[in-house]
Amino acid sequence: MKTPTYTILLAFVLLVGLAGCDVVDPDRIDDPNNPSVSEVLQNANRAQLQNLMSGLEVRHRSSTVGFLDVIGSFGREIYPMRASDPRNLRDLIGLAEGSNAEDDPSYRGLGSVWTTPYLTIKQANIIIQSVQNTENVNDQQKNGLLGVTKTIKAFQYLIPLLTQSKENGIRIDVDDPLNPGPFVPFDEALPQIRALLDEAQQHLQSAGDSFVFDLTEGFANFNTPSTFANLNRAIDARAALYAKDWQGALESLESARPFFELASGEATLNKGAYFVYTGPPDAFNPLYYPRNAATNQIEMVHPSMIADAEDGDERVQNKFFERDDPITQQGLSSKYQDDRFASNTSPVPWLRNEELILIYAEANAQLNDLEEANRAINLVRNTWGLPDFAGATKSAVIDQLLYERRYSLWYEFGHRWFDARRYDRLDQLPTDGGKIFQYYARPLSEINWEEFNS
Amino acid sequence: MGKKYITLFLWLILMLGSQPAWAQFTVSGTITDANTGEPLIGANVFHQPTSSGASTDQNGKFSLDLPGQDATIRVSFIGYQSERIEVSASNSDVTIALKPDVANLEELVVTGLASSAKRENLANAVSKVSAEELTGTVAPPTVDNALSGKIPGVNIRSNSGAPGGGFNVQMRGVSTLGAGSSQPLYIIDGVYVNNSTISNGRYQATGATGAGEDNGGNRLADLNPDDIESIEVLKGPSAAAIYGQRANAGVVIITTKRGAAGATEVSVEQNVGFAAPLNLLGVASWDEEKIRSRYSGEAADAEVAKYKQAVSNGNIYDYEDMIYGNRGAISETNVSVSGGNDKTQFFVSGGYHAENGIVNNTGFDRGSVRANLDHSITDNISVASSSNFIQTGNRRGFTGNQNGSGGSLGYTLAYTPTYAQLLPNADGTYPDNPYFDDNPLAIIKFAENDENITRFIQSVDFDADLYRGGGSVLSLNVSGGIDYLNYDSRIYFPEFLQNQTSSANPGDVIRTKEDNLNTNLQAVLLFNQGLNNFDLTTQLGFSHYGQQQSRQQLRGQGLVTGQDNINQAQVQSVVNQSEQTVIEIGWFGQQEVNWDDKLIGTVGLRLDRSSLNYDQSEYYLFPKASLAANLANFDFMTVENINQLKLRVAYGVTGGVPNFGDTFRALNGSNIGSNLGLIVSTRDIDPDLQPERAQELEFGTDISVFNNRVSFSATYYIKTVEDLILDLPTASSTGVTAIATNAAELDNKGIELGLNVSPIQSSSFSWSSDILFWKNDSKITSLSIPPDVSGGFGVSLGNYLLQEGYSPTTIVGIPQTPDADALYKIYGNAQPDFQMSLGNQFNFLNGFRFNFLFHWSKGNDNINLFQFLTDDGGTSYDWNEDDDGDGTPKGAQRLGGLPPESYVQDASYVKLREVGLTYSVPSSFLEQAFGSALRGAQIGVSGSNLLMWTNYNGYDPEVSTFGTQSINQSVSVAPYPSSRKILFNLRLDL
Repeated sequence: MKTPTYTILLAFVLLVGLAGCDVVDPDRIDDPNNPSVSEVLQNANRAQLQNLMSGLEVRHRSSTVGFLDVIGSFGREIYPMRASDPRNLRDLIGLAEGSNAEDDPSYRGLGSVWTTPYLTIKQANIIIQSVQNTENVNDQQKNGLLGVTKTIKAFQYLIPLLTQSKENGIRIDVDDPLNPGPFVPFDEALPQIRALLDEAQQHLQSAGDSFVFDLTEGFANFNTPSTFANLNRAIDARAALYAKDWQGALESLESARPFFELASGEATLNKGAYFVYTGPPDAFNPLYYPRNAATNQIEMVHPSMIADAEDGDERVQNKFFERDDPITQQGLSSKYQDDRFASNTSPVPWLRNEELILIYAEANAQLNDLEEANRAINLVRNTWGLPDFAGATKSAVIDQLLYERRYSLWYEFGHRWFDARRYDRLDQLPTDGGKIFQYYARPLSEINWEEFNS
Repeated sequence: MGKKYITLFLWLILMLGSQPAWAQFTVSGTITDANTGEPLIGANVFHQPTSSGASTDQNGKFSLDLPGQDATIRVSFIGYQSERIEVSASNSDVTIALKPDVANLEELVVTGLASSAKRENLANAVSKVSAEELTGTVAPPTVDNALSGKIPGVNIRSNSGAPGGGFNVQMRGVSTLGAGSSQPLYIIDGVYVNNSTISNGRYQATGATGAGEDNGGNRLADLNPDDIESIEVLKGPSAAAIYGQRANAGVVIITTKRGAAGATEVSVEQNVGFAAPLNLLGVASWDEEKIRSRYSGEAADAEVAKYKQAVSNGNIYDYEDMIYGNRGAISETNVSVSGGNDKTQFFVSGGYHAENGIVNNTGFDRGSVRANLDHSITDNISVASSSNFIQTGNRRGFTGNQNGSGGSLGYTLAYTPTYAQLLPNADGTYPDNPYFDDNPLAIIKFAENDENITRFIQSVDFDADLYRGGGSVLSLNVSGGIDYLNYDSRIYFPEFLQNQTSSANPGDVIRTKEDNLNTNLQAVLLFNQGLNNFDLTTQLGFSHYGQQQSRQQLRGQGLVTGQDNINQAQVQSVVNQSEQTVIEIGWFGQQEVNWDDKLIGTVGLRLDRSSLNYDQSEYYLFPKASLAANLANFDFMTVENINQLKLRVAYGVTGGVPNFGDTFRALNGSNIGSNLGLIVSTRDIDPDLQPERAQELEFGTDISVFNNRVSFSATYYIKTVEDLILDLPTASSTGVTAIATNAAELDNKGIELGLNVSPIQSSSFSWSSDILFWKNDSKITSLSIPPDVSGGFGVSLGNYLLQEGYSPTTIVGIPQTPDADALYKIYGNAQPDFQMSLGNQFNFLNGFRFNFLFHWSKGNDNINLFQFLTDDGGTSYDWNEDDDGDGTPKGAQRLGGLPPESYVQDASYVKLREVGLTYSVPSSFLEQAFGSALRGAQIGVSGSNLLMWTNYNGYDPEVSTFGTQSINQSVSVAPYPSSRKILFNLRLDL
């Protein structure tokens, strides 16, 4: 190394050498941990479609079970005892001064009654797009995929719909995240949801004898296109109640046979669609607590459920367990915990024949066929060790029906609050020193988006 | 794009020139200390035109061959002011007396990736902290801990009092809103080291909300502070631009100690001491009336009975004191051996730090060995290696947030009254805690939270002078670094704990293993040339950075008695298994021009690409330019007593890369029944996403007068962060809740002042004093998404405002304020109005030294949710007081109001960070007593965080339940209380 010439030459060689290899121009790094959404939107294979459908079940389960504590509290089915976060009682029972779910767009629980159901709808929309863009399944198989997907999608719309005010309503068109459709008030949205259920039913009718994908054990009674169509109609029967379409409810129930069965007996009543929990890598049943669990984070049965029960109602002893000691928080106290589940892998029901029988009773009562309504009510009552009921007036039958729904469907969908809204009986719920809310305010993200884009 | 810039670089290389050389004479002489007259060993003599130099020997003598008949030589030595001396063939024997450099003007500071400049010539306010300032007085357990209050412009905040660190270091305000790294880049001996906080999954076992609540320590804690020679802090983009896309939050350059030619030196140091709680709060007492006000009916009667029984048995306890009131023993041993000859030098050290916390069964241990070697292969080629092997063990216990598990001592404490009976029974079993989910005394005794880190940090540095002569030197520097870190942790709740027995599968263990490998490689061509009065330094280089991470987290629930092996669990799950790979490439060039130490200008450019960016192959450009004018060195400045008068201005741009995974739109795996589901992520990505980018303009002045006895430094900066990545909150009904997008611009404006005075400097007594003052104001200047709130536990308890015209550290809460400009009511600001520190050092009575450091933070606010919990549980120390006489106790009153109104609280403080008294035995005495066997002996006592003054209603205003965060950093939920530490020190130099 005597002269600068060599040096410059060396430097040149070094730089060119570096420039020529991967050290200076490495390959792109893709996500090493997850597949990407774009992969399934183009010509998805069957395994990918299966994964997406199981994903739809995951979303459907978490959104349907996820809002129970919120609406269960609003409807005074439970107390959300959670000492670690006192806001559960403060907000959901409305104990906190000035708390108001009706005008606070960030109110506690809005995530579970609004955002989470829409995640399921998003999953459904991706599946619909994926199915339309693949050649790896035939038309019959596509109809099976679309029939199930659209049924679940329609069911999920009901959750935000039932928790918003009728005027505010919900968005139906949510395909494009940067360009969502308008808000549709309750009276317009519900027919659209039922139309989607009809569309799903038509898919299922052209889906052949079997699905190209597996559903979990929770759908054991609905794992073919024709039986899934029964479930689709059962959902429509529920939606028909919300629409006060009594005749429609009865028609849908007829189409839901053999799932819908007018008979008594525990097994008959408990027949239905369930969410399974099998433990890791799957989740555990989040509603299960061991009896007398030494905890202060637990949903406790609202004491009115015990106080208001008819003597000898077996639903009380089947569903509620009397603890050795009560749990008391913020001045509210209950001695009973949820006893419906034997273990943390017990399935959670989300639509049972018992509900369909009560829908049948309600529709008949509303159509003034009190005898048929009483007959259906007694199928349920007799199963749970109660004597026959014979309502002589429509209002007496409806009163009794709401009692039966309260105990038969306790903590399954938040029915009590929804029923109290439907029949304008929210003022009959105990306030517990808090407030009974009529509906949720429109969420902040929706308000912001509207303002931001106007 | 890359090729175009490579061509540019080659052009610059070809433009480098050279000059020839000619004949000589010899100059020789002695260099001494101007105050004492003692010879200086190892001082440097340098002739710039020929790039030749020499060092003084044991007697302070040197000899140097020079060309021609006369020349100017430059004489310098670390810690002394340099001198320029005229010599000639006739005046070739000189004695030069150097004055001590009190203001550190001569200190060398890194200014490029392979070059340094003396502080006098810097255009930035770069702070340098020496070993003396870092570990001279106290033995800090971690490095970040030791910097608190010592650097203007840097806010260092401890996340909790748990042993083993956990710090949030924020330089010059807010540099990201969470999408990028909020923490500076740490470089140790050229290695880009891992300073992440690794999650052990504690939050999953305790039911807290996220990994931030694991209360982890950041991994800078692995470095032994005693190994450090100096720390340089490049606070903003104007100084750090040459580090490009990783430098938005600043750069911290740590240099470890190295050997010097000469006799072998052995140092042995032992510290022993203890930690004790700094500020316990106390707990409220109970009586029948209070119980009846909180319970009704039967429950009230039962509680009153329990209370009366406890009183009559004398079983009323202060559980806070029982849990937190312990003393933890601390011991630290450091041994080092260094020395070498003119070819090879070495520094070998070993250190062991063992520290117990104020909660039983918590602590921090670190063992570290280091070998730093330097070798000159020839006169022109040298190689250096730095190796450091570390094992760290940390037991941080169970504090902070939890939900439904009782897995937080403080949370449980908040709900446990003094009449609760939690002490173990005669058979050693612990009773259930009826007031919360677990018995905290049982948690301390039986629950385990262990982390073990095994780490190896290695750097190799190769230097070759390719060409030397005619006043110019062309050298090549190639350096590489490796940082391998293995993390292994265990969270264990035995099956018999209260909360476990109430779960379906009692017994819970979470084991995490993480492997991290960081590599970096850098090649720089450096050309230095003296042309008349100009000194020109050119550098061109390339850098490659790689990061690999592999993580596994397994969980077992339902454990066999006494077993913590996941194979023995009823329920076995893989919580997390993931990989990360990052590759980054950078090219850089820099030109420095120094006109006779009068005007010093620098321009530089860096080009960076990163696999973390949305467009992985796109290069981003980071320029810089600076100018310093040393007015005192100009001929027209003839004022006496002004040693330095510098005006400086600097501009630079840096970047901030997104976090790994943020640019992927994933389908996430999730199981149901026996099927695997893929679920669509709730996040979407903007295809135009750019990395965050910060630019800074900084100007200031440095003044030294009266023989450097008084020096003053002032800096003003405007740091603007553009393209801040935020989530565009979409209408949540679309199933996409957020799209990461470049949405905001933020200004940080601040001033940094430093005044150093040395009023008395004599051999029998000296006093020097440092006063530092700094403040920063942040403001969002533009926001293209709707204003929003973030962090905390929501607006109902207080969180942070993201809105144009406000600082993102603004704390807001309910109610909404439709009539006001801000989205929600403003309750405070997490950013202090200013911080200030005062350090004083006294040397007296020939060997005694006394120093202390006060640190004041003014006007910062916290969201004190621990008080929210203790108020809810009736246990706050002042709960029963009724100072306004309205009949409602204080605790109930606070709880009755809007939570942010009650619990957003002023967290200003003054802390006595450090105080130390040491005595060094005079060398004359040692020589008499031990001959040459003992070169030095020092004993001392020191305290850290000894005193605190604050009105804040918590253990320590420095707290963050979410750990290290860009914004969300001032929320308190049942933290591990802080401690004060007292250490006795003995040091022997053999």
